[in-house]
Formats: sequence, C-alpha cells, structure tokens
Amino acid sequence: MANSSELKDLEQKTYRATHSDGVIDVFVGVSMVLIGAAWIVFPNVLSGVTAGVAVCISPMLAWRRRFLEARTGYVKFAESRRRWERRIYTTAAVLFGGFMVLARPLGALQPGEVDWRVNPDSLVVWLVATVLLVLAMLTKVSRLYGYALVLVVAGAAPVVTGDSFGWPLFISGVVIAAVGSMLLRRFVSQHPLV
Amino acid sequence: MTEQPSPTQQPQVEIDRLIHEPARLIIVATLYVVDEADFVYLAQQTGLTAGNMNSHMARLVNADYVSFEKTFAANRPRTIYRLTEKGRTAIQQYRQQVGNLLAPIEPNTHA
Repeated sequence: MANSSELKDLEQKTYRATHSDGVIDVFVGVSMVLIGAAWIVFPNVLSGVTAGVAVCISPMLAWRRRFLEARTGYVKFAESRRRWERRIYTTAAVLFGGFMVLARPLGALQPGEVDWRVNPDSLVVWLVATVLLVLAMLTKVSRLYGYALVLVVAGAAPVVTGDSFGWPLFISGVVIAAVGSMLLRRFVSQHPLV
Repeated sequence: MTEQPSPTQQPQVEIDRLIHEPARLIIVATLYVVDEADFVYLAQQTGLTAGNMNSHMARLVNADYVSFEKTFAANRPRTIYRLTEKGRTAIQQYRQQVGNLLAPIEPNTHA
C-alpha cells in the first residue's frame, strides 16, 4: 500500500473480480451466434436481430447486477470508473450497431466479393476483434485477448473460402458462449446465494 | 539479550494501528478504491466470518473512519459502508508512514 499505483492496481483487481462471472461472455457469445446465424441463413432479418440484441443489453445488465449482488454482495465503483465503463460500452455498441444497422446494408456488395480490403462485411470481424482487444488492454481481463484471437482466426477463413462473414461471428460466438458457461458454472458453485 | 523500551519511550515511527491490522487494512483499502460496498462484499473480499467482520467494522465505525447506512434490497436488510473523509486521510497518512518506514530499505539487499 506504499504508493498510489498499488491502490490503482487494487482498484483494477477489484474491478476485474466483478467480471469473473461469465454472464456477459454468455450474452455476447449467444448474441454473436444469433447474429452470425441470421447473417448466414436469413440475411434479410439481420438488422432486426441486431436491434433485438441491442434492446436486450440493458435488461441483461440489470439482471446481472441483481445476480451478482445476491452472491458476492453490493459494490459501487467510483464515478470515474463508472463513467469510463459507460463510455466504453456505448462506443462499442454504437460502432457495432451502427455498422450492422446502417453501414452494412448501405454498403453491401455482391455475394462472393470477399476481399477484406473492399468488402465492408469483413470489417465487422475486425471491428469486433478491435473492440475486444481494446477492452482487454483497458480492463486487463486476459481471456478477451483469446476471444479477439479466435475472432481474427475465424475471420480470416471467409477471406480465403468466400463464405459468409456470419461464420466467424457464429464460430467465435460458440467459443465465447462456451467459455462464459464454464465461468458461470464455476462462479455459481464458488458463490452460492448469500 | 535485547533491550526493552521503557513505557515512557516514544516510538520513532508512528503507525496507525487501527489500519495496520491486515483485515482492517483490506477493508479500508477496498473502500478507498470504491465508492461504497455492503457487508457481504467486504466479508468476501477479506474472507472473514460475519462475527469477525462485525467486530472490525465496529472499530472502524467507532473511529469515524467508516460510515454506514442500513437499507433494504429485495426485501432483505443491507448495510452499506463508505470511507469517511477522516478514514480517507488516515489511509493516506498510513501510506506515508509505511513509505517513510520502508524508504531506507534497499530492495534485494540480502539477495
């Protein structure tokens, strides 16, 4: 406790500990599976599915807060941390939602055009991977690096094969949801209802 | 044979013993980096039993380092703790005291 960097580390560690439950991972993973599946099978409803996922974010966060408080107790972080968190999540949601609902339909190219340099569809994979990477660096939650890596690897496949860019989202979503489920299961067993 | 200090002898270095106790140090440090937290959260952070936590919290509250508020959440009572200005100053002073105490010690001098 000898210097302020140690207090900052403690704050980081405390904050990180509140993200070990896996609920957000499961939500993000399932959302990516749904969006990826819609992209592959029903491209016409893709914007609707994305908007539906966006609508669920707020109720999910409220439910998660109650879920965590019932098991690990209540904690409120400093205003600066909450402001930072709101800014990060809003930026990520606006970037992803804006791309899926506006940019992608407007800039859609012919099927088969899969060059990542010209196909705006490929951008979504790099966009999500970048968001995950930035989040990983800022929160120091190491599994986010793994998620970004899975997305980049899965995202490279359609560039080669010419498949839909829904596949990388779908595959990464399955991985993220599976990891989240394991974390959630461990969290529930370690933190029974108080 | 070590020389025992006389009772009137003043210690060279002042350390706030209320904060110096490990469990209370974790409680105060946690409350320093967050706005507020409830009893359950702090008990989980420190790994203390409810009885021990109560005893430590009572000492911190009596010293006016921590304030508390009793509320209800989902029809269950909840006690929320916050660090007071006095508590905040105390932990800053404690950091200073420990820093001063350890400053002359070079790291790895006995490695």
